[in-house]
Amino acid sequence: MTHPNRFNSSQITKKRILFVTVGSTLFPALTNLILSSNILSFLSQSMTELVVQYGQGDPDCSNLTKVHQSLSVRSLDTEGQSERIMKTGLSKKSEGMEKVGKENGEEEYEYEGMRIKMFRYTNEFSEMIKESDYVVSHAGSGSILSVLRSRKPLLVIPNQTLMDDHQSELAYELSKHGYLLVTSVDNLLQGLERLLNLSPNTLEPFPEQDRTAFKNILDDTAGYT
Amino acid sequence: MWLSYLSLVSIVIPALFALRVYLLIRYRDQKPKRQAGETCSLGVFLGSGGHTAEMVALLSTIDLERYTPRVYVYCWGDEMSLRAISTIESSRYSTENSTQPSYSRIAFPRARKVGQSWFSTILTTIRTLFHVIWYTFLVPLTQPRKPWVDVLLVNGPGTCVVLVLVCWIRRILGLSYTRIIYVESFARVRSLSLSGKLLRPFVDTFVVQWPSAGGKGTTYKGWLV
Repeated sequence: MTHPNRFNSSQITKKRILFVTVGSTLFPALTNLILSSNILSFLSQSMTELVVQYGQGDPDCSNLTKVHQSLSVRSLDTEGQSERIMKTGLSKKSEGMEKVGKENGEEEYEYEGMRIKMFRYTNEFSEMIKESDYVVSHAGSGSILSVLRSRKPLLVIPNQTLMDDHQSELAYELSKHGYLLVTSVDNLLQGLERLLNLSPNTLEPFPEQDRTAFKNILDDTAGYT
Repeated sequence: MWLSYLSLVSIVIPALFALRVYLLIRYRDQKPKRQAGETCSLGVFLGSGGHTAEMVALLSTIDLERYTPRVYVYCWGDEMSLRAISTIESSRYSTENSTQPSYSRIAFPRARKVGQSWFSTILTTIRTLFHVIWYTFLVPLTQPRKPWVDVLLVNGPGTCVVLVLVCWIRRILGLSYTRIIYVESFARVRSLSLSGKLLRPFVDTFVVQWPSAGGKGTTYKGWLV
């Protein structure tokens, strides 16, 4: 079966990057599934690069061919991702020194011609989003906002194992307004098909921050009216 | 004789206390009138992770020269919030000639970590309470007519409840009045967070970012972040 997104040899030189992020959270259902041969085969038909931020997970890379491992320090993020600092600290303590390389470094693999970069944390979250063509994210509001503001096509996979699952509410509400796509872990493949086949301008552009609304609320409460 | 003392302690004082709290909730202090050129001191709680990220977005829209001096409150070890303070304040230096810092920082122990049991939460909250009472109540008591800050801005999580509580101790004693704004997270679509539910009757302006999250008595002016 030929997929509509399959590239011919002249197009393959153009980079097409899919960024999959679970922020600083533990979401093995997504990080393991994305590295299953089923999903990878599908992605390698149309993507040249897959970037995975696996957060606190320890994904199984047995399907992949190792290319390179750099030890560049990419810990401590700046914006939008919850509880990063604390959890970096915790996991470093609990896992000991032998994991430090994997902790901060970026590993590179290959699968059927598609390059796969994997890392736990990044300082350059917004830059990574800007460089990518499509984003798959957990339902964290910080990650969702960053991606929508960068105007990248976004597929959100809520983590249904969370106790207080208000996060998926946000994702489903925003998808109702057409700003993003949302699906469950079980329907990841169909979700990816929808994401990669989106025609331009299908998703609503997310509005920029309203720079007067909060200012007015504060001025009003403080008595400047 | 001892019986009348006992009744005074066990009935009359709590009753008067409850009446005072009720009256303070029922009949809010008259909103102050400030002239456009006046300054207003601002307290900001940075609650780590997504809370801090949203707070940075909110503060990026306000007039920092008007809201001077500023006091940033954050929790021990929260490097992300420390960096957030320098992000917020560095935007000011580009527009202002004065090199004198018009802000200060206070760090408290966290009242509740994610997943902490309720019993140990009580103990850590008491520890936080002592710190907050010292810095925001006892130290400012040397100038009882001047509030700790004119306006306090909080957006969760738990530890900010303690800050609001100490503002209320001042209110109950009839000392200067700090107006309090609570901004519920963009992630809360249909329900309030725990700190939101707790604080809603006790703040002057309760802001939600989805109309379905708050209901009666809340302020909704669209998305703020």
